[in-house]
Amino acid sequence: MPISHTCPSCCNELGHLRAVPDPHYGLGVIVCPRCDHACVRTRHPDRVYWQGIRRLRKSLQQLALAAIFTALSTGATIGMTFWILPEITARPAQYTRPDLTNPAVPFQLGIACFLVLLCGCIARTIYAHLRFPVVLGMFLILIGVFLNIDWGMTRVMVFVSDLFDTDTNFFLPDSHEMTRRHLALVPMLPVFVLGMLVGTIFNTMIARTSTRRIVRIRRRLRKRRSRLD
Amino acid sequence: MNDTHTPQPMPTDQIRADRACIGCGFNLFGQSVTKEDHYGLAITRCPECGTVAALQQYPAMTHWVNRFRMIIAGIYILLLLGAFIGSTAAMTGFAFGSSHEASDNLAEYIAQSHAVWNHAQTQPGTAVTTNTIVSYRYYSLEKAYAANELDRALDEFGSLWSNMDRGWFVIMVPAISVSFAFGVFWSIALLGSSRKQALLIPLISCLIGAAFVIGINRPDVQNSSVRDLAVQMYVPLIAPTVLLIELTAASVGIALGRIFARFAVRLALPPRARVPLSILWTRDGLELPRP
Repeated sequence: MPISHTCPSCCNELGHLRAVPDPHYGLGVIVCPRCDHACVRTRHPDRVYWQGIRRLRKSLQQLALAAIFTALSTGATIGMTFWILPEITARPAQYTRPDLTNPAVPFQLGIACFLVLLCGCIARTIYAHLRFPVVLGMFLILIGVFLNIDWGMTRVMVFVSDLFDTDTNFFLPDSHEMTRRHLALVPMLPVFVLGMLVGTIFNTMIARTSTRRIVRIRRRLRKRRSRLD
Repeated sequence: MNDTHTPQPMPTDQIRADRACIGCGFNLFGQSVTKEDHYGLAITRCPECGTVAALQQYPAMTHWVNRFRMIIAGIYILLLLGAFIGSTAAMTGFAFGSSHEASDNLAEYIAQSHAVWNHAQTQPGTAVTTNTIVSYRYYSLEKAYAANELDRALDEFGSLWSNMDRGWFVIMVPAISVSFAFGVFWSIALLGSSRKQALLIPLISCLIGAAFVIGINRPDVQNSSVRDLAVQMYVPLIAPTVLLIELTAASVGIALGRIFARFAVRLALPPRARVPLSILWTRDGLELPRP
């Protein structure tokens, strides 16, 4: 049942009539079939308020999802890097060939690569409105920062501690550990970029589907309008 | 537009769509519409409560819309109140923790002095070695020591500021970070106010924190442990300093909070989804960025 809309001239119920946008101003005009009085259908301010609230909720939801998926993509990429760390860097600052004879190792590497690929794909999909290099740069910065976060924070604490001559003890990851981490990240990053390329293709498909839908809706509206005229 | 319609015969005027009564919310569907005598307005009468409803162009909604607005505003205010209490507690906690950390050296000094005095009382004539000094940090001071020796020990300790444990500066790193985060939060949460007005919230937090920490701080030589006594002596010195530093960090957070929020929104949302958050720009007299 539509919301009631009465003619201001003769009180006739106009709620069932469609408001057609007029060609000059785009206002939804209705001509009363009884008294020929033309009136404009405006939306009630309360409905506009709720619509605003819904849109705000949608935007905040989108913002929260972007933040969550950014954290997940960054965290999972770093997590996978740490997971394969013992397999590909047996000694500090030196690669070893992964022990592929052990059936668990290729499986582990495969899982890690798949998840990092997925992370890249998600990263590109949620930031579809940004250019590829911007998204790549942003995630490189994020992964770099969070890979070294414990080292960075401890360095700050040590600096402050030294600055004020205190005798507080902190555990600082050594340089070999940091080198291992960065070396383990090297094979993961191309997989991440590959995932982003997959995400770009995925975005194109989404955009195409959305365009088709809009074209279908426009065609349907055109048909209705011609029928009304 | 349909220009070909023909006027129809006058039917009995009735409401043929949904229109809620402004008195009781009853659906006035099917009620007769009449023109009242005085002004000639189109009205209908609710069969349930008898309220006369003027038929404006669009129907008035029920009271629930305004009630929902009030509920949403109430929930928001409650959340802000919770955040205010949380931020005040955190800032006060850092002030108290820093005072605790700074008082380490004094507590150690008084404990040693107390131990030496106690040794001299219980075993006079024997030499005092470090092994015989028990850590008296968490013991209560004896009344005789407090009356005769404490002032001398404090004089020997020297200036509180120059002899404090500087470990509290390390606590300032998380304190500044947390206060900055609170500043960013208040800057975004209080969009109805200017940044200067938003600054009042951390200022009030700090004042409450200072009043609380300093207000409950009453050095009681007779009943305090050595540790508590040292903390109580450092609180008036360290707590205001820490709260001032936190207030500065929160002010920087308030100054930069909306800039951060605008950057995050621009980065995370496509242009169309930014529109409902346009208040972040319009509040500061800026235009919404074009795609």
